[in-house]
Parts: sequence; structure tokens; C-alpha cells
Amino acid sequence: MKNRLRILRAEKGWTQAELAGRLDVSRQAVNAIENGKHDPSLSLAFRIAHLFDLTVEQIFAEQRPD
Amino acid sequence: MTAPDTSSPFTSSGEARSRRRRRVFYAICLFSLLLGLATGLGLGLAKDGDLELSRMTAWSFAAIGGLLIGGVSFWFYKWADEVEVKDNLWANTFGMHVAFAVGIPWAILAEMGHASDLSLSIVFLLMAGSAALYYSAVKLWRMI
Repeated sequence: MKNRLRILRAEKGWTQAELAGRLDVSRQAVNAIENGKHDPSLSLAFRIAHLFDLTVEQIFAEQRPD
Repeated sequence: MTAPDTSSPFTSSGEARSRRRRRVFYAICLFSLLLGLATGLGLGLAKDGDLELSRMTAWSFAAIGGLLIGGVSFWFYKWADEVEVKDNLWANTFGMHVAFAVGIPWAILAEMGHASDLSLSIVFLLMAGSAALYYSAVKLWRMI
């Protein structure tokens, strides 16, 4: 799954640690999601969407094979 | 251009949460130690009516070990985030499968007389070692 988390975080001027603090997860989790090495749970995806005032679909998208 | 929102009301609370987690961890260690000592003392007294140091020490260590593992496990799964829980569960699953893959054929061969008796210590060490190896590999992969 691809996502826009890194861009959205940069727009807010937050570090990974700051975003992690706001989401109540570890910095490692934020890093893993940004790098596409972890697909967040539905609960965390909604928390992320709520934090950026967007919908889940506006942040996360399925990575379809070409 | 709009200035980035650098205010982070949750950052300090995130750090506070980390500190609280550390405090809980140390509290569990201390509590386990004290309870283990009390258990050992109590059991030693109840068994013989007097204090026998070797038995008391053995019970104390066993109780401390059990409580510490139980307490830390509870603390870990309560506080760890989903990435950490996922990595740990997969590592444990991998370790368990290695133990089954080695232990079951070994037990069958031993039963048929084609191998030495099954050593639970070796199987346990293999399980723990492979789980640790898997966990380290996943963490390394995340860092790359």
C-alpha cells in the first residue's frame, strides 16, 4: 500500500517523533509506514486521517501492479 | 506562504508516556523482586517451619523469573504499538515453527530408536534463538 504520510508530515513541519507522539505510536512505526514497510491497522489509519483532517482514501491507496 | 504548524501539544505528552512506560517497567521489576523474595520466604517457612536457605533461594529465583516474565510480557503487550507487537508475534511464530520442525521429527526418530532421546533444552534453545534471529532480521530490514 502506498501513502502520502511523509508529504503530509512535511507540510505540517513535524518530525517523525512529533507525529509519533500525536498518534501515540513509536517513531519506528511512523518510519515503517512512510517507507511502505508496514500497513497500518484500520484504527491507526483512521487516527492518521483524523489528525490530518482527511479521509483514509486521501492518504492511503492500494498499490496495483502495472 | 503559511508557516508550518510546529506546535506539538502531543510531543511532550508522548515523551511523558515514554517516561511513564519506563517507570512501569522498573516498578514491575522491583515488585517482582520483592514478591519473589516474599514468596520464597513464605514457602520456605511453610514447608519446614524454619528457614532453609537453599530451598528459599531456589523458590525465590523461580518466583522472580516467573513474575518478571509474566509482568514484562503484560507490560509489553499493553504498551507496545502495533509494529512492535507484529514483529514480536511473527518472531515467536517463526521460533515455534522451527521448534516443531526440529522437535517432532526428532521425537519420532527417537521413538523408533534411530536418534538419541529428545532434548527439550536444545529444542527450547533453538526456538528462542531462531525467534531472536528473526526479530533482529526484521529490525535490520526496517532500518535499511
